[in-house]
Amino acid sequence: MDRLIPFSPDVYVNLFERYNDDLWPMQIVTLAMGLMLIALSRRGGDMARMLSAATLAAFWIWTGWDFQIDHYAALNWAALPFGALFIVQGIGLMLAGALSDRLNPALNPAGIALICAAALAHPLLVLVTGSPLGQAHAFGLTPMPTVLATLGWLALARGGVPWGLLVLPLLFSAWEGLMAWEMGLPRDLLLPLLGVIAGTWLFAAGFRRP
Amino acid sequence: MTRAGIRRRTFLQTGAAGLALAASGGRALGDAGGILTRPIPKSGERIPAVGMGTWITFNVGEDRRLRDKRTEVLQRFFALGGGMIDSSPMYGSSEAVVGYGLRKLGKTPSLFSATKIWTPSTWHGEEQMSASEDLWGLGTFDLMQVHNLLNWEDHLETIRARKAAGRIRYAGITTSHGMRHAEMERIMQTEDIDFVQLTYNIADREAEARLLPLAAERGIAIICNRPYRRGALMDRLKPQPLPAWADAEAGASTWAEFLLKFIVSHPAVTCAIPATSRVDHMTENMAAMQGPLPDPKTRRRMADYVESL
Repeated sequence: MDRLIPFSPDVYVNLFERYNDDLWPMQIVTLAMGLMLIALSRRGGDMARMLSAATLAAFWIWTGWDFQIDHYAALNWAALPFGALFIVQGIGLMLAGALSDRLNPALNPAGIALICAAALAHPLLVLVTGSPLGQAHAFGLTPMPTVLATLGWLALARGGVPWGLLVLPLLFSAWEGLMAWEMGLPRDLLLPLLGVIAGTWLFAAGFRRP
Repeated sequence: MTRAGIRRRTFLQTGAAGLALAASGGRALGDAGGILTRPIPKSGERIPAVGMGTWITFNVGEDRRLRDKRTEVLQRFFALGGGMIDSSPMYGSSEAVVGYGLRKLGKTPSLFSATKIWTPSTWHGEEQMSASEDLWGLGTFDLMQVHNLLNWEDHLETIRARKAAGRIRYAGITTSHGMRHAEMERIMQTEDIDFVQLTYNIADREAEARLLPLAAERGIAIICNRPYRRGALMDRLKPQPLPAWADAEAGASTWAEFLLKFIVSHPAVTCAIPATSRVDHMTENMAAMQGPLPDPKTRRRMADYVESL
């Protein structure tokens, strides 16, 4: 695996720090959008579904284009294909949200917990480890929080999840977990671990559903 | 003053002399100023026996501060007589960062530029070489290599065409981590190539059995990557003491010298390419081009010592 990581951990951390600095104060806007996702799940219904899906789709497309392709690809060859897949995922999410009432959200503690974890877990870990908050993986602007928030939202779906929307979140979570492990960045392991568990559980739940 | 201390003082003085020599167009450094050089078998051109790699260490993206720090490493490299810089499109922004540093430093006449083609597509190989030229800020490369033997048949043809046109001086192939040695051996036996890059260090000596002797027989220069196993050897050895005989018999007063001198003392080896992001480590690495080299008996003793730790 180390042959696949062409940069050092400090350069990787520095990437997030510079990225957050460039985008500030967008992080506050995306956090507010995260709160909106939770509020919409209380509301339920078609409009809640479509607005939530559009929000998450915007996160995927932005993250794929700006973070992966425009910033990260200079360091990592894998960011270019992942960036393209993120954009495809965003379009898929938008279409699924527009067309499939199976995805109408309902309040569900596991889903809400995952969305909260996506927003807060990594920043909290960064602070607890005494590092600058700028090193945090920002909600809605960087890959793993986007992946985890999406899995959380999919867990809210009343009618089950199209498995096609789960493939990339699950694969990417596994990839990011391996990268964090290989680079020796323990605080970057939590979100991928939650992603793998949530993605696997949603897959299994989909197979069990009649 | 200890033998190591005398050597270090000579080394720093030689660094100043090396800088002057480089400024005077010192590509063929010979052993002037005490810097160890090795001949490229196909041409007889001599290059410094310790170059530098750029895998991971120079992949710092657009960050100006980090790019300037890498430029300081380059500056030290050239000041101490450095020649070969090895990179690849696979290494993220490393080529761009090398190019940034070279532009900032201005004239670097001792530079021996070595990069690679890394794509399965033949037509994209041409584009990639042109892109590398732009990134490095060079019109020609000294050495172009097929990275990890990817589509080597077609890319060697492309490289040969560019060589004939005077845009590349030498052609080569690479592997690492001891992979695909059998295939490399076949290519070395059947193709006209100037350089081979492979992994060879005090812990990974598989190449001694067949590839290094074959290179010597066929007149192929050898570049050794992963001299420290990407730092793992250093991490393991640094807490340990050097053997008491290291300085007297191997000419080594640091683990960097010990490990690099083991490599470059093999008669078939042309150049080792340790990678570093630190100026102090660059100084340590380049010191391996000073002083005596271990003889075959001492080399065996060095390998046995490391194995025993």
